[in-house]
Amino acid sequence: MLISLREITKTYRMGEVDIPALRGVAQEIEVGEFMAIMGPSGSGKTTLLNLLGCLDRPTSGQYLFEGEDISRHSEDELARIRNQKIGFVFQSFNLLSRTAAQENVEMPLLYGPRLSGREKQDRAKAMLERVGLGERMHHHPSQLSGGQQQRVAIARALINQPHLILADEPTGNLDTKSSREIMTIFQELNAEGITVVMVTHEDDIARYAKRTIHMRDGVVI
Amino acid sequence: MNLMATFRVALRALLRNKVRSLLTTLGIIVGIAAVIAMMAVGEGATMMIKDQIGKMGNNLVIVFPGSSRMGGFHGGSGSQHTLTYGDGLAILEECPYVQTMTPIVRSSAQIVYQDKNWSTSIEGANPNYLEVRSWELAEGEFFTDSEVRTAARVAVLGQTVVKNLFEGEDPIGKTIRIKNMLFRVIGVLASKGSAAFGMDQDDTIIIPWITVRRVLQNSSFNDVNTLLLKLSSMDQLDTAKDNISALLRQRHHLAPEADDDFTVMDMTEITKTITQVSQVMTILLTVIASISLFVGGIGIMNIMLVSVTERTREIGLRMAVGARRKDILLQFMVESMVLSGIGGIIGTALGTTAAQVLSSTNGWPVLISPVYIFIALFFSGAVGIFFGFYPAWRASKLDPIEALRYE
Repeated sequence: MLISLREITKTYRMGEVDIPALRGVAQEIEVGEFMAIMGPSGSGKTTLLNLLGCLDRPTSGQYLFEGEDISRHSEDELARIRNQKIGFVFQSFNLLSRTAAQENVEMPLLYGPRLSGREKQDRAKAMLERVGLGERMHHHPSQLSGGQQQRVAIARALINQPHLILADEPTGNLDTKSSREIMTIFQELNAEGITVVMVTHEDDIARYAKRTIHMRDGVVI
Repeated sequence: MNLMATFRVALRALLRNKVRSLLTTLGIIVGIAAVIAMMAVGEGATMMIKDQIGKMGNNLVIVFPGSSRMGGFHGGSGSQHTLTYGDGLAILEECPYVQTMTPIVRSSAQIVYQDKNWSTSIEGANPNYLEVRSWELAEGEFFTDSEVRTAARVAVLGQTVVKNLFEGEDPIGKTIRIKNMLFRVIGVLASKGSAAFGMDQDDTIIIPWITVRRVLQNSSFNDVNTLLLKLSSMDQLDTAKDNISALLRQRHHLAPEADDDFTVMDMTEITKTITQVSQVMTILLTVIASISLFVGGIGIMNIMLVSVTERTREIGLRMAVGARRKDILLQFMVESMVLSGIGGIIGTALGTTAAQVLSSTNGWPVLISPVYIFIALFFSGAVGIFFGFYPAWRASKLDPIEALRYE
């Protein structure tokens, strides 16, 4: 079992008003799953993804990641888990502009165990080759197409050999052809044993996943 | 996260906005350069003053008449006419450590030679003047005791006076007019240069003190403005001063409870006072210069705040890939410290150059010690930390989820 969620709730406070985003989510994710989360906007799917990614802590309930109780962890411990065990892929790629692809990919290594410059470069190169961008290591994001930029972002997510990849609408900014390429990469990674959880609202994209859950009003239906 | 890597990331981020980084650094460059230049000029002036007082002869004791007092009204120092030439002679005779003595009687007048004239200060003295002031003659001779006694109309000129009245002519034996009376020039003093605060010591005429009193001031009294005493050694300075005071109190018939009607000062006190004044000036200049450093620091804070806002998504991303809050804090602190540190280094170079240019064009003495450079670099670093902290703290407090969503 990779992830186990027990009665997770998340409530945001907007001034005087409490806004419930998640109202009791129980879910288990096995190692090696490829899961899509679907649902209309405001259904709580992004909140759930942020919780899974240890970017936020639940208001109540228990979140076990590889058996560790995340809900009790300090911010620094969460940062360590994000760095070592989780890779993020965003809808808008979030690459540093005017910065070479290789450097973008290296970025998470800065916050992990110390490595030599040589090792960092080698690892970044290996990751870029894995997503088919070995020739474009020194290109800046502005010199790359959207699909290529997203592949750089995936290489960045992979650099610390994470157990879990979280993708928030990874194809939302891409054309059909690039979307297909990206989803193929996710399937390949999943085949290698990496668990993938992805938020999307497109049925075509969700079909690449092995399992799909639907959310509405803060609960899984 | 190690410091070298953080440093490289900071440098990279700053190089992404070269012009902006340069302009921000400029504020620090100007501030540090101003501080360094002001410290160098101020300390140089202090050094020069000390040096010149040293040249004047450190084993000098100066006696002024005290202030007059009528009822509750207190005059300034020297407003009393109680100090006389006789006092000077008595000190010379009875105080064993006093080697030589000259009275000083001051006056000033327009000096005329043929069609040229020059306004200068006149010092009346006795033949011991040169020895007391450790001064030498460039040519001619000094006046003698008998010339003093007879109020002879002879004058010894300072270099500035010679330059302005004679323009290359040999002044010895020439006749000049002081207050329409004829004086014969018998000697010229060696050049001594300017004293503390730019007073030109060569702009003077020395004539017998009795001549000043009787001829120029038309007075029959023997009171003097100052007694200059040279001690045989500095070791007995305090004893000598005590002896002088005791003797003068006795000669002036002062009751035990009465205040002194004279002031005995030695050069160490004067050195201390003038040095203090000069140091206060240095501090003042430095404080004024520091204001520009402060403004430069505000510039850094401003640009760092802009940078944090612009890079909100980057901060969110860094947090998502595992940066802890303290990593973000450190990264932005290092960025502002790199800005101010580079500014400090360039500013130090610029400030030292400016100080040297000042010294060579204006002839100001300038003192640049490694200590100032160290202080300047320390302050530029401190400015970086102080003004960089708030923006960095704001960056580190961002919520990663909000930051990633920031447009």
